[in-house]
Amino acid sequence: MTVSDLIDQLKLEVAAGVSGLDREINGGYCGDLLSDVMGNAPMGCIWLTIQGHQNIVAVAHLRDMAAIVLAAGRAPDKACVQKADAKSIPVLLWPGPCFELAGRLTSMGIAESKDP
Amino acid sequence: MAKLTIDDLKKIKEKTARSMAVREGEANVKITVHMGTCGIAAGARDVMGALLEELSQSDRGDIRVFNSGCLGMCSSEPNVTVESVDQEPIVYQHMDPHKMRQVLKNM
Amino acid sequence: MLEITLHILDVAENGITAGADLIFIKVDEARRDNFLEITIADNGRGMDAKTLKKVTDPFFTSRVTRTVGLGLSLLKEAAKKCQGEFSITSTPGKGTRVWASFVFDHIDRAPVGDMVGTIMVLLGGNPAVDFVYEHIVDGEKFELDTRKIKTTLGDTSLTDPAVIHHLSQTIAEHLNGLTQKRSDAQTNGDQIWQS
Repeated sequence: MTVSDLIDQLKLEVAAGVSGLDREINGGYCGDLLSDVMGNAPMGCIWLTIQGHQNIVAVAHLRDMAAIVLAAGRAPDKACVQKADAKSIPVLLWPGPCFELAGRLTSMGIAESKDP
Repeated sequence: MAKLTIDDLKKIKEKTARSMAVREGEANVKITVHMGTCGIAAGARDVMGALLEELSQSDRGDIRVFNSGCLGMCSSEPNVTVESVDQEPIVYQHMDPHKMRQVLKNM
Repeated sequence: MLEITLHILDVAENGITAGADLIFIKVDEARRDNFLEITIADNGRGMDAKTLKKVTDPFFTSRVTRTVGLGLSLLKEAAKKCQGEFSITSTPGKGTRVWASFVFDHIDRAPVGDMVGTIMVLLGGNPAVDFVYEHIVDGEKFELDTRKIKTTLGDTSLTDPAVIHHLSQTIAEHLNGLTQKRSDAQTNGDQIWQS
């Protein structure tokens, strides 16, 4: 499933990184402690978080992520948007809690990643 | 102010004198635990801790341990490079304390 | 990072990569003032003003292996989250000094963590580097200077794992003695109940 497919199915708003919507999603991860995400998120995953500063783009770039979803109605700050656009990493918005979205993604088949 | 006293240090010297004599040897094996930000975030400190702990109780006098920065393979951290004399370097990936102990046992 | 000592480890390793052979680490827990400060200073090659400005940008790195250098940005963000401050100063040819502060009882403040484990790893992995480590709890100070230890121990190498093991146990005893109220092994939430 690509990021674009996901956006269509869940009606997610795109806040940044529009040029990266064709990325293929490989698993998912939830986390707000950046060092944990850096160390443990699957490569190419979709990442659910409530952090909205530019460091999230750096972490996403490091793990070659498909997209970042900002949950709980959070919005990315200006520097985050700029970096996400520059790196073509989509930042999507979800109004509810991470837990709820994670459940939806799992039932849609975005389950275990293919690689460690 | 608390400092390590002469007594503290003398005790350490006594406790380690015998095991150190056993361990004196040529450095044939170099183990590098990569300690860049990614490595630390993924648990490299505890891998290094396990390595030091195992070595403190072993007789191996030929192993030297070093830290270095990022290897550039951030997706497989913690990474540990083992270089033995007459052998190609091996990079062990996705290490944890348990795996580090296993690698050491098999050396 | 999960623990503040992991930030300290990361910044200290930066200094060593920059050619330092002396690293100064200070952890100041001013609990009565509700403040925590950490300082890491090195005598490495330092940075010019232009580089210094960019160093907390996570997309700026001196490495050639990839384009992201996150360590300092993570620390700066961690301090900001706890209503703290962050500063970095540097002089080319002399060295760099990193300082961060945190409100001690802030709910998002990570525990100080395993400082002994961090010191052990720094000592064990960097044979050519000396360390001065100060840990202060409400004015009570513990100090470690590897240069003085090496002199006292004579020709004993500080990188021998057995020496480090016993040294770390001794350091742990001294740190525990600093205050009986120390509970840094606990999670953040416990600070709510700390007096």
